[in-house]
Amino acid sequence: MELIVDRVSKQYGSKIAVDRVSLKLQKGVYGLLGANGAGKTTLMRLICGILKPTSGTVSLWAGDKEESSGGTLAGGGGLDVSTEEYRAHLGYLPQDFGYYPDFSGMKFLLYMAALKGLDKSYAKKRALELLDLVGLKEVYRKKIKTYSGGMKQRLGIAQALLAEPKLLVLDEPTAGLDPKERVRFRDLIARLGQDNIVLLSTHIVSDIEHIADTVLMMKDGQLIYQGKWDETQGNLEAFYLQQFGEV
Amino acid sequence: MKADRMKNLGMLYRFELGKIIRRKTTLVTVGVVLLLILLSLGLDSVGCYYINGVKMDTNYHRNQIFKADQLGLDGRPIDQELLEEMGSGYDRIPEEAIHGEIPYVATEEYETYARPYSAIFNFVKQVLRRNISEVFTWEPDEQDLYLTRQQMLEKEWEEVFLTEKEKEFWRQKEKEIEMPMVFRFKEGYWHLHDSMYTVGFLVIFATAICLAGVFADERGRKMDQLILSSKYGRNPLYLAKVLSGISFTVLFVMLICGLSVLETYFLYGLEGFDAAFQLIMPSFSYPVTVGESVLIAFAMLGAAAVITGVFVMVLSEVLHNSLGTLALTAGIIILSMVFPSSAIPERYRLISQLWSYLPSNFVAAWEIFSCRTVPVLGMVLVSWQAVPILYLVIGCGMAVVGRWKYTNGQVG
Repeated sequence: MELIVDRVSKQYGSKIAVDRVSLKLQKGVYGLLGANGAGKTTLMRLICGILKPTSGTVSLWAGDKEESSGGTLAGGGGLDVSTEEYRAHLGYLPQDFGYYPDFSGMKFLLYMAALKGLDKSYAKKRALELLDLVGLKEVYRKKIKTYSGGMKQRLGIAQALLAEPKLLVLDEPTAGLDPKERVRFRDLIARLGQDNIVLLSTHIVSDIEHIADTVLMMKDGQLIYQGKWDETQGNLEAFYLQQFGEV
Repeated sequence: MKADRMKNLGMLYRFELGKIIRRKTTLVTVGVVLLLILLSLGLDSVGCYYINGVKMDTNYHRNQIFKADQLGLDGRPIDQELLEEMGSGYDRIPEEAIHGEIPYVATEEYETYARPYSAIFNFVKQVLRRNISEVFTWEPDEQDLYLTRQQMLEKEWEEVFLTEKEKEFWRQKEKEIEMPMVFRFKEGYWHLHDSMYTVGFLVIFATAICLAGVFADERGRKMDQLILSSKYGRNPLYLAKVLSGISFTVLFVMLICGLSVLETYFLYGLEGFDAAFQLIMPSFSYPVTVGESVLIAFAMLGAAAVITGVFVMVLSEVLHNSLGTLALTAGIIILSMVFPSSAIPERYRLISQLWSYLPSNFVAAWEIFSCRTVPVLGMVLVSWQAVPILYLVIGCGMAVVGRWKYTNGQVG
């Protein structure tokens, strides 16, 4: 499985939010770093198909694109980001998103499961599994309006995982979580990255250090760094600040 | 694959319908509208009947007396014999009471001799289009009554610029109406027609309030990111949302109509389903019964509400703002009230006719049962046949535009 982002740009009037970004992501965890306004969220939205690029393409391929010579997940060409089939493989947790306050946690997940095309009985089973996983099983009948910010964030993570996505896009997934929950989710994300493509953005450099196999850095809409990071290379935070001219 | 898709469409439809019904705005709006409609229908039966400030009776009891009077005449043809009976009853009313300070309805002569024929008197007044004192001086004449009606019809057809083909159509329909007309008790149906404009206005306004957020609220809540990135978040969800909006509207109209009929049954009675519609609207020539006319009016109310609902949903997707959608829809509804189709000179017939087909106008009985027809493929269609087809075509067009807008939707 390979996600190919090919020279993707997004322009709003004279402002270029994402500038000719190209990426090839295979299974693993990718940490996207960048200052506010660097274009991280825009890039993630482009990858999720909820924003149309001004130019360039986003597609999902089975295995390696060259090796599979046009083979797809189902056996044809690559899946374009605008297709239903592409979205079937996608799990997305936006940075700032809403809920239906009068829905219970369970009902919200069942609604999302219907949107993701899951069978009703499987959806129930899967929703209970995920509620357990994110520690919301005790409160799954309660209305979302009674949930704390952290609980809502956990529910958001649960909905992203509903359809067992091959491509998981997480925009600030640990925002609002307490330190204990953050550690739990870092572990969960690392596990998911073993079989899937996980792209996550965060301001917290230590999150990236702990779980990301590959670090991506964005500045002014452009990808300024892409590569593996290990402790031998030094402190990621210092490198990050250096890239942004803040030291 | 297709079966799974249909199953999910069904699930999404139920979720979306639940979302509309359980919204607080919906519950409050539907509750208020129901209350207003029940009050408006029952207004004639509550309180008391006064003459010159003196309480004479309760309105409910008074209505029951009139009902008994009318049931006494039920099934009698409105012919020379009945007109003369009415005339002699009204002749007993003293001259000074007709022009005097004390209303003639307060006299004992009216109560004893004239009141039992008051429904016939009112019918004659309506057909002749004369004031009360002129009807008092009218010499009962069956031929004159129906001939005057015929002349009125021809005059009206001329005034609204009907074509010769249309006039011929109505003349043929006129032949199918039983003459002399047979009097039937039909008060319940009259009340239903009488309240239809108010009911229609409230239903259309409430539909706009309840559906303005169907698409716009998802953006307001920032749910659009999750929805649009989901497998079925575009095409099937659009269909589920539109279908649930239409279903809600149909259920709402059925609830309103059902309760209106129930209240009418208890307050006025529903006898006389098969009475000629001309007893209520003498200037209309189509051979329908009052019961059928009420069913037609209900169906038109449903069609008007559904097209309003589709318009509101599509507009909410285009504007991405429920308040803006509501303001624009309310503006159109108020404009149609302030500036009805009758305000457009008859010589601009096409504009006037099209304006009368605006949902907020087309809930009125005088627009549904209008003599202006629509020519379609050599046939002549009356308003209640043509307008639903027109609404269907426009509704499908709007739904396609909305679908294109929604499925190509972006966030941010």
